[in-house]
Amino acid sequence: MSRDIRELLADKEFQRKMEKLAGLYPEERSALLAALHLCESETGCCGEEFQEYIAGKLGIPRASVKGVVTFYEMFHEKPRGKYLVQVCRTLPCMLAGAEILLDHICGKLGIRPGGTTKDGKFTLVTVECLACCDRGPSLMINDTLYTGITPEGFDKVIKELD
Amino acid sequence: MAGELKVLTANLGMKGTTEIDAVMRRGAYEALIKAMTRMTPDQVLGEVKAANLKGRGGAGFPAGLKWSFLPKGKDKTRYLVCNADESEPGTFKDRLLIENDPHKVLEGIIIAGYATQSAGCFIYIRGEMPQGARVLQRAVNQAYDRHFLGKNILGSGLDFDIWVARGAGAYICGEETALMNSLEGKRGEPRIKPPFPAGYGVYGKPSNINNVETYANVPAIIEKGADWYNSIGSADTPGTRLFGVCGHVKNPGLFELPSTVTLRELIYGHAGGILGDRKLKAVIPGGSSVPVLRADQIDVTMDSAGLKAVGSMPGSGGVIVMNDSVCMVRALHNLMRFYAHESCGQCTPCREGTHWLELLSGAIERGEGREGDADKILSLSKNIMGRTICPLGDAAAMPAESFVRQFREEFEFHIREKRCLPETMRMTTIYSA
Ligand SMILES: Cc1cc2nc3c(=O)[nH]c(=O)nc-3n(C[C@H](O)[C@H](O)[C@H](O)COP(=O)(O)O)c2cc1C
Ligand code: SF4
Repeated sequence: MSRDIRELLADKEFQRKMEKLAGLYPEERSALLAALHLCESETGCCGEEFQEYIAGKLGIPRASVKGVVTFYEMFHEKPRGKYLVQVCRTLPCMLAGAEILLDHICGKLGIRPGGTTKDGKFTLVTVECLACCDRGPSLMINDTLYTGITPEGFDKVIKELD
Repeated sequence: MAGELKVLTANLGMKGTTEIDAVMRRGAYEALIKAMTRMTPDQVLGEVKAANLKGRGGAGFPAGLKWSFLPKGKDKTRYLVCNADESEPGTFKDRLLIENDPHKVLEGIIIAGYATQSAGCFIYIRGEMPQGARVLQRAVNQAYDRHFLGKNILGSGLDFDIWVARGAGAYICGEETALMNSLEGKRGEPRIKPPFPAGYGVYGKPSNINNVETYANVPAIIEKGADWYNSIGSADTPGTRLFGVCGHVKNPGLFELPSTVTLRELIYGHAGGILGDRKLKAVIPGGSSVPVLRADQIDVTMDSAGLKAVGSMPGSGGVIVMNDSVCMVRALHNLMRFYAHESCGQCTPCREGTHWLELLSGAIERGEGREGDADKILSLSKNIMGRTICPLGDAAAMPAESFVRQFREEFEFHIREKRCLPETMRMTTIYSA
């Protein structure tokens, strides 16, 4: 999750994965989002160094890559916490109690949405509808979805994260 | 009350239905085999047209007709796109189909590929569904192993590939041309139409885009025929539909029903009635972008004609139910924040308008509203409608206009009294009910 970008770019396994991604779609540039996802999951962000690398690799202008990184909610230019806590705030989850849950999480982690805990473990963000509206309130921690979650349930979940 | 009719969801709740062997024992890919070995592409297209299959992504455009817009000829590369970006608030049907029965979706796509003689299909799945992307990719690999994908499928002469691509957190990428830009590794900004995707789509090639559920309808149409399909549902929306009911109901979930079901049956029958045994106050019948209804407007069928009669539309089939503990100003503010956040910013009426709608509804909600603010919401909505590149502007304006029109007194109460209606001070949640 929080690997160093230079180490990652030098990693043979990572290079093989990138090669494979570049050949996955009819045109190479279509692999950009997939490549950014990979970097995001390995290093916790898609900073300038990776942007430059992937621009060269896929033959896309650097400015366009930056434009893409900043457009999509799931990509970050700056590193975020080890665990990205994404709480849905849209109407169906609000009706289920998302505001109560979010207040609890803010208190528990001692941060506001957008903030990262001092130890770098958690970044808290609010997100829009996660498409499991019948089971709200919903949240994701990195790639894992939790639905129908109570404040106590949240405490239990994060206790089990290292 | 009409019972559920499981065509698309026949495999949901069964074990192992993400595996090709398991679903083939239950008849999967038989429609594909029938289409490719016993029908010509034009016969397949004709059957889907005759079935009058309506798009399930929100706009309800006839799928067969859309397919027929693709230019024909061997010299042309045509692409299909499957829209699995599902992000319309209140909508959760495509996720369930993909995660539980991916082969049904793939089968429909490959049949469409045969009918339109396309080179392949991009399935664009939203970034927040990594599990769905894994399930899909695995299903695609299994379909290649069985030669339902690849070169000369079933000896039909069709070469057809499927590529799974992930989005990265942007509602606007569900709009068809934004999605195509995103597939090309670009910012998800909608394109100006015309040209339409049928002429200029992915990589500038003729492309056809349909929703996940739309494609999932195709196998049954081919297997059982257009007449059977038309015998179910209503005249304007034949077949079954996936209705997702959420919010203040006792039994939220996904229900597969003909569109002849009434909104009342859906809420009080299938979804078990109102949470907290309170009164129904409002319902958004087709995803957050369609006009809201009041409790006295639910005796209508869930097809286009029924919902049109009360000023709304079926949209994406997501039904959001609110009981009388919900403050409508607060609900509107929540939605306007969503649209303002998701506007791509290309068009001034949408970028500025959604922002002002969020600010205005927020101010009224906090007790800082001023006289005339309700009318301001109406005029802002009016000035967004029809003046933008893509329909996101309208998608924000329709709820805004309808919330004020339908619950005008509550907005005025807020502005006058600077507080919520007494019964909305403590909203029902799953924690309190
Ligand atoms: C802002 C916006 C978001 C949309 N999101 C989706 C979506 O998540 N899924 C979808 O299938 N269609 C979505 N649509 C509709 C698509 O543009 C398109 O009409 C649809 O995919 C066509 O498929 P269909 O004809 O099978 O319904 C959206 C439209 C707009 C304007
Ligand atoms: S209507 Fe809104 S979302 Fe659509 S293109 Fe214009 S600014 Fe972007």
